[in-house]
Amino acid sequence: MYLIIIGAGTVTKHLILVAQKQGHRIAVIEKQAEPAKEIMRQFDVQIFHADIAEGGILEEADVKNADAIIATTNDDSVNLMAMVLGKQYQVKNLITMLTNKEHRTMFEQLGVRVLSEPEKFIAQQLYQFIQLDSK
Amino acid sequence: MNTILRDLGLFLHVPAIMALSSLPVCLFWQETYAIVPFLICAVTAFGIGHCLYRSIKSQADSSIPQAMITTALGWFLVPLFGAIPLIMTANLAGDGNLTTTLLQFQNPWNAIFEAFSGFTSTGLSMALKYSELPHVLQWWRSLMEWMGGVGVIVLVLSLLEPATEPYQLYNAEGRQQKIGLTVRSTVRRIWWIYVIYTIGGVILFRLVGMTWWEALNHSMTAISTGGFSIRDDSISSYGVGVKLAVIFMMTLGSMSFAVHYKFLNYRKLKAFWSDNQHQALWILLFGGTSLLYLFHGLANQAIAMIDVLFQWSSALGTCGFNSVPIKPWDGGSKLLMSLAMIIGGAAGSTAGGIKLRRFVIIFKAIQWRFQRLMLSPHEMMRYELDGEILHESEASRRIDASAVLVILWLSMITLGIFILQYLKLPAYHLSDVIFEATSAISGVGLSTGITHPNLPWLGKLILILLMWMGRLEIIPVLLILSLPIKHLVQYLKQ
Repeated sequence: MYLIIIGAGTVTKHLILVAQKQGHRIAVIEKQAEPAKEIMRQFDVQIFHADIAEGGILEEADVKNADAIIATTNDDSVNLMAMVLGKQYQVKNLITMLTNKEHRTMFEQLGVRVLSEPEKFIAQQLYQFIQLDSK
Repeated sequence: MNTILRDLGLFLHVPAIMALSSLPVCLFWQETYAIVPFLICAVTAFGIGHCLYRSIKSQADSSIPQAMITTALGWFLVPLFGAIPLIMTANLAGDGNLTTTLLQFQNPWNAIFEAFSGFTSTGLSMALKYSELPHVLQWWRSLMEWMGGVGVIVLVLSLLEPATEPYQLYNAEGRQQKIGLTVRSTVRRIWWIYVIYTIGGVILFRLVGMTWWEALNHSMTAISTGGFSIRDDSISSYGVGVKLAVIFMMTLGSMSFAVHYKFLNYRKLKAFWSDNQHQALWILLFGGTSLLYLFHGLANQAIAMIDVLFQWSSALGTCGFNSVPIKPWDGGSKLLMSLAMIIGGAAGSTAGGIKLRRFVIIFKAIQWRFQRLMLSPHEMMRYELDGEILHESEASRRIDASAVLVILWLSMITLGIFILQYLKLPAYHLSDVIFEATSAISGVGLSTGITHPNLPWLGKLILILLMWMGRLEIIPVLLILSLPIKHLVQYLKQ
C-alpha cells in the first residue's frame, strides 16, 4: 500500500514505524523544515517540504497511486484541506485526526474516518489500569 | 613565530630518540663504524631541538595555520636529520664494509631522498641492493617508515586539533565518538594498536617462513604501508604463503585505526564493513584485481593471479612492496595502477593517497547530483553517508574539501610529470613517468626504475617534494610556500 501522511509530529513517527514494518510505501508532507528534517534523519521515507494549501503538492507526491491519506496535524483546516483534496483525487481511504470535535459532522459528511480527541483514548486506557489494580 | 620554533624544537626530539634506540642494533650486528654517525645524529637533533624548546618561552597554543606551518616544516626538518646516519655511515665505513650500494649514499642527494622516502613512509629507494646495506641502516630505514607511518596521524591529531577534517575522520561511526575521550588517550590507543599489530606481523611473517630479521623489518614497513624491503627483489622470491601474509598486513595497514579499535574492542568482524570507506576498500580491492588481471590478459602478459592481487593491494594500500617487476607492464596496466595509487588507503590509516574517504565523498557527490535532478520540486534531498543523514551544508562542505584536494593532487602530479618528462630520461615512456610521480605523491613506493642514483638532482628534488607534499596532504605545504609571496607583495606595495 502507499500511504501519504500530512504533518510530521509524534503520531506520524509511530505511524511510520508501524506501517514500515508491514512493508508499506510512505510519503510525508510537512510545511516546517525542522520536523521534516527530523523525520528524514530517522526514517527512510519520501519527504516533501511544502504546504498542502499550495496546490499541486499532492500530485507531486503521486497521489494517483495512493491508497490512503492520513492527516495528523493539529490544525483542523489543514486536515480538512487534505481530505477535500483527497476526495477530488478519489483516494479510497481518507483518515484524519481532529482537534475540535465540533467539526466532526463536517468531516463525516465528506465520507472521512475521523479520530477526534485522542486524549479520550489515553484517559480511558489510564482508567482501565486503575480498575485492574483495584481488583 | 615563537610558537612555531618551540614546537619544531619538540619535533626534533623524535629523530634523536630514534637514533639512540638504534645503537643496540649497531652493537648486536657488530657494525661499530655506525655508532658515531648515530650518536652525532642524536646529539645534533637533541641539542638543536632542546635549545629551541627551552630557550623560547612561548606559552601560546598554536592556531590552525601555525600548526600547519609547524607540521610542514617539521616534516621537512626531521628527514634532514634522518639523512645524517646514512651519509656519515657511508663515509665512515672502512673499505671492507663499503659496498657499491653504500657508496651511493656518500652523495647527500641520495641520503636525503632515502630519508624523505622513509619518513613519508613511501618506500622509493636509492639503494641498488637492499641486502648490501649494513644491518643497522636496514633497521634505520624500517624505523623511519614505522615512525613516519603512525607519526603523521598522531601529529594531525595532536597538532591540528578538533576543528580540522582529519580529526573528524577519527570519529568512529560518525557518532562523534572519538576512539578515546581526549586527543591524548586517542593517541595512546593508536600507539597500542600499532605496536600490537607490528608484533603480530613479526610472528605471522616468521611463521610463514621469513627469518626473524626479515620478519621484523618487513612487518614494520608493511603495517606502516611504507614498503622498504631488506631483500634485493622485495617480496618476489618468497612463496605464496609469504605473499598472502604480506597482502594481509598491507591491507590491515591501509585500514583506519578507528576500525581496528572497534574490532579489537568488540571482537566483531563486522567492524571492517561498518562504514562507506571500508566498503569501498573491499570493492576496489577485489574489483580492481580482476580488472588488472583482465588488462594483463588483453596485453598478452601472463602474470599469476597472486602477483596481480599482490601488486594491486600494494598500490591501493600505498605500501609499495614488489612481487614482480612493473617496468615491462603495458601502459594501460600502469595507468590503472596509478589510479589505485591516487585513491590510496582509508583516512585515519598509515596509508597515503587522497584517501578512500574522499574518494567515497566524490563518488557520493556524483550520485547526489543525479538524485537531485530526479527530485520533484518540493521533495527533500537525503544526503546519506555511512548510514547517517547529513545536513545539506555539511554535505557540501565535505564535497568542497574533497574536491579541492583532488584537484590539488592531480595538479601536483601533472607538475611532477612535466618536470620528469623533460629531464629526457632514456628508456622511460610517459606511462612510466606518470606512474613514478603518482607513486611519490601518494607515498606508495612502487617504481618503474626512474628512482635510481643516476637520476639527475632535479628529478630527485621533485620526487622529494612530491613525497613531502603528499604526506601532508598538500595544503600545509602550499601555505608555507605562499608566505614569502605574500610578504613580497606587501613589501612591493609599500
